[in-house]
Amino acid sequence: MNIFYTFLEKLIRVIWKLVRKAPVAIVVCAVLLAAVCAGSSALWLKLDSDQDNLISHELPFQKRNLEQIRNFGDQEYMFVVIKTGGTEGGKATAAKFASTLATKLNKRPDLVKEVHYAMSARDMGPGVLMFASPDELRRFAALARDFGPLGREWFEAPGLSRFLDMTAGLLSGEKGAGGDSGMFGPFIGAVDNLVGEMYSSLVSGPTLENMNAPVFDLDKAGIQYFYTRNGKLLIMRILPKKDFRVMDVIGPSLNFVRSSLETVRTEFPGVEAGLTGRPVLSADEMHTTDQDMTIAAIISVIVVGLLFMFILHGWLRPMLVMGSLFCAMAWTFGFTLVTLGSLNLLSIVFALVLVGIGVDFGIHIVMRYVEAGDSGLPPDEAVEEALVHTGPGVLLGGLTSVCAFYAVLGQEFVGLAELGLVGGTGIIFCLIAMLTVLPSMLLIAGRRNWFPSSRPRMATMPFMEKVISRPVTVLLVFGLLTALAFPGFQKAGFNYNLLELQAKGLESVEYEHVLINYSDESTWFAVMTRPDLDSVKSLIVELKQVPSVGRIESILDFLPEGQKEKADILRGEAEILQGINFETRNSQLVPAEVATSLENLIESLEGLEEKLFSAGAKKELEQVGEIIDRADACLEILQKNPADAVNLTPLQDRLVSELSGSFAWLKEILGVQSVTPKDLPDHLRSLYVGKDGSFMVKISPVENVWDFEKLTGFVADLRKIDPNVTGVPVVVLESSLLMRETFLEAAGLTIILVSVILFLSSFSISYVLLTLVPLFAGIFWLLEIMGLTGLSFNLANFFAIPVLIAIGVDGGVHFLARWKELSKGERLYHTSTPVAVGLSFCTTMIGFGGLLLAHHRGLASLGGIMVTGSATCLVGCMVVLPAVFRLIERIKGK
Amino acid sequence: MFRKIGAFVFILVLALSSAAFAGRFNFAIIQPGQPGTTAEAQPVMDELAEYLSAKLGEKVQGVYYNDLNEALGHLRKSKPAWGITGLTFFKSYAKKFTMTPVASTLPQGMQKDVWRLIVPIGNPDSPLKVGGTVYGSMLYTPQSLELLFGTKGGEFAVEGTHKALRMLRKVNKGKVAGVVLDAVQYSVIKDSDRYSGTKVIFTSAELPNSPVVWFGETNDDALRLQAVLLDMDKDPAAKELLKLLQTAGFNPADKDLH
Repeated sequence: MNIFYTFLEKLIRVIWKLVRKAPVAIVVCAVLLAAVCAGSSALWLKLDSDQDNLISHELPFQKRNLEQIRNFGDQEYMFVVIKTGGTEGGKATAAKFASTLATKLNKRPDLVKEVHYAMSARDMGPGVLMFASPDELRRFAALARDFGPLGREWFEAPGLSRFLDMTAGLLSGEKGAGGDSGMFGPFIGAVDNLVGEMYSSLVSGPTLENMNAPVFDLDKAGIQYFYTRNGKLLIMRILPKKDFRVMDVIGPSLNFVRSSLETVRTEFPGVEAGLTGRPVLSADEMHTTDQDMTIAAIISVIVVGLLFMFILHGWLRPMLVMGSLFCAMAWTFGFTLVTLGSLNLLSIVFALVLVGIGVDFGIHIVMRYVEAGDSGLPPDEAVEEALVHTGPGVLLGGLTSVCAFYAVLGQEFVGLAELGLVGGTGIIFCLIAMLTVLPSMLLIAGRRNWFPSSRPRMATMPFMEKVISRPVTVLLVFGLLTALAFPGFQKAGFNYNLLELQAKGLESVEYEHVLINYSDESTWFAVMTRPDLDSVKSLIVELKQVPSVGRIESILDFLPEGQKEKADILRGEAEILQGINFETRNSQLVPAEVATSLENLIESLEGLEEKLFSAGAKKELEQVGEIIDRADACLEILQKNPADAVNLTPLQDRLVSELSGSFAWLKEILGVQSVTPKDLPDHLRSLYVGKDGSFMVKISPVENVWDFEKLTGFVADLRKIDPNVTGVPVVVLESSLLMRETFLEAAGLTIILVSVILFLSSFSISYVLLTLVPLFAGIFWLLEIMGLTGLSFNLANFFAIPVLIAIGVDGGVHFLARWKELSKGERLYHTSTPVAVGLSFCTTMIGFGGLLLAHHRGLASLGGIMVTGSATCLVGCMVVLPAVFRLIERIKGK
Repeated sequence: MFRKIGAFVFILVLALSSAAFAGRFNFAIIQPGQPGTTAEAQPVMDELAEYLSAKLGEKVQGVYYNDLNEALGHLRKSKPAWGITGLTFFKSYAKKFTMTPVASTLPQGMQKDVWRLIVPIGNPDSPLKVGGTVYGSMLYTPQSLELLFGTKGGEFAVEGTHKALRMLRKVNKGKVAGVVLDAVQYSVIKDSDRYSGTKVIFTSAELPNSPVVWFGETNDDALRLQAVLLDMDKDPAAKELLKLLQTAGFNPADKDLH
């Protein structure tokens, strides 16, 4: 035996002395410390669910990503995808659907920051006219010239009566501005609105709801909805409020958007719509994984509990193991609070790791305690036997597990490095708890005779001796099976497609596919920045040559071309509104005047009806007929009771106010001579112009970049143009590669560290190789089975590798330690060690086996790999390693 | 000196010849009984004129009349090259103004027009028993009755109106003896419940739509115009204009007009 192993044995002896001397004090101290840790963690330990914090901020790609977010703000939107069917009717219904949903969403600014589904003329800022073609501009200028005198007339004495008279004049053709058939719809719609509001004001009085609402909604003039280029979908972009202090970062916002969407769906039963986007997919993923993990945890606790109670006889021994484990977990929380202050999205799973690995240490101690008790030793000696004989193996196995986790320390993948620190330290705490608290409790319970009077049957597996009695045959059979399955090993691969990890049937996943398949939209876009507009222009020219590039968005989309020609057309046009006082003034409402004006309006509308009748315009005629009916009803009310006209005063105020604003805006837009980024409204400028004045160019892929090969190609193409390209595609690509690299590096480092520790504990290469037999055999078979069944590694199940390394080595260490302890004639399978090791593997399989039922395909694959890997390592440990032992015994002539 | 005189004469000849060709395709649209005013319709006339100028390579001007007397006055003063006239106007004045049909309109895409005599629901079903004045946008000359009934005429008085819908409403209320609607007007009300107080008691034979007429003997210009008009429904640039003119396009002249 070497110095290192002797040190471990001495350490265990010291621990035993401490335990024997003051078991109660140890338990009390442990529980008190656990209580303090648990309490303080509950109060102060934070959760950092920001995915951006999982990766080192010092990495160049992450630095650029964070700089872009800081410079341009959060632009990670949810998308409501509304199907239009591609028809005009469908598009109109989709627009109504979007408008209804937006109204609901805008009521909760505390949950929803922005909603975009259309852009009105006013949203484009004062330079809106510059976006029209020169011909359109000339027509608009002519129209404005017609309306100029009308505006002047209106602002001389603005009021409801004046408005009705002017409308009547326009309809009868007396006031000009006619002839443009395109104006018919909006104009009649406006008259309809006004008369409708007059009628409801006269019948029900003014309501609070529409007290400040616009009468005509002129702000929405020229509205353009965000249809996809093929017109089949209408896309709403929603920016949710994010709270990185909670697990479901957008949880409240998402719930609100979903419930609003559900309500609107019931109002529009014929419309198909769904929610997707990166934050929604992440939240859904979090939700399904949370549900799946809960189910898996419940299943594993019940099954493992039953297994423990069956093998350890009764509930007290399992409870003592679990009590020790909970102490270790509480200490780990305390450690995390002191060192990191927060848990991230990866390190939060450390508890699972401790349940999977930490509980195994307790199993070995308790099984040996049971074995010692069965051989008739009193409690003190049984605990000593268990601790002294199992302790060094437990310590050695524990240290190898710690290596598996500490191997990621210092990695650029901060999320994983923190999981390594918390998980590795948690395993050390489990070792401490299982080597101090558990023996103390066993001692206390044994001394006070708390265990059941019936002794547990010492669980052994003597039948396995027959299996390994022909070691050469056994090894040949396994060698043959391994060779046969070798093609599977070659097929085992890595799947980077994050969308394929998601649960099937999720609305967010389905609609992500809808977006991919039926539109040129993408929820992912790459970002390049340029310091000035000229370089943005040349960049776009370059990007348009790249086949993998789809939609390109930039500030140039909002800077019209041919500005000089358009400025010439508009020059001086604003003068027609010069000198008009646009200030809102409230005039007295005279009932008789309103009634007379209504009569004029009805007469003009009847004239219009005749024209429509002669033209055979049935639909328009019906619309005008309805307006006349309502106007008649208003007139009747006013003639019957003129005092009711007072109910029209708020409507008149709103009308005056709205038209004042609209004419002032008209004057403003007619006076614009150029549009620069500075002239754009804030909400547009902030999308494309950074705080430092640089310009963002958003580049969407033409293909489905959830497919890793296409993503790699897309980013590579962009990097040829600009190596500093950033955005979601770059971050996903880089972090996926980093994650894979980190795991592979960590796995390699772990094996090296474990080999070094094993060597230091034995100074024997054959010992190291023997200990690693179950691990290597198990992992090799796992890869073969994965290849044969089509199961591949992915970003959700790669986490299985360090855990499998830890438990694979642990089994080898215990088997080898016990094999070396065997006295002459004693057989390995007549001891409790194989059962303890088997139980350890079984608890891992059961713990992760629940995940096989998971809806989240990533988690289900984690369950698959853990169950298969544990099973193959178990076979390696329980069959192959003892067969090798037996072969060695035969060779050495034992 | 002679060179200067020669140049002057040449310019003069050019100027006179272009003056002689000015207004070769000027037109008048004459639809007595239609609502609206000449001024309101002028932008549409200008648009048609602009379209034809581009197609024919000549400056074209147009005017619209929905008042019979104003239309007659215009025709007496300045004879346009061609026009689109109501059927009644054509029947009444074809000989007087030597109108030759060169094309026909297609309101709502219909090849033929049909007129219907509508009376209050409680009145007798026979046109012979109609008592009082019957109104209609096309009933502004006595010839309109011939068009309505063919050889057998009714015995009632007729009066042209710009307000056919108002008259229909009056019929609906039983305040007027009857109204005659053309096919386009009738298409608006045929499925409506609003006019349940009315009934159709007579339907005319199929009648020609408003014709495009050439004033005087047809010549190459008439054929050129006809070609342009007949192609309009295939020309995307004419789509909006046809809507304004309330026709789906133009067909060759209706044979029933000859």
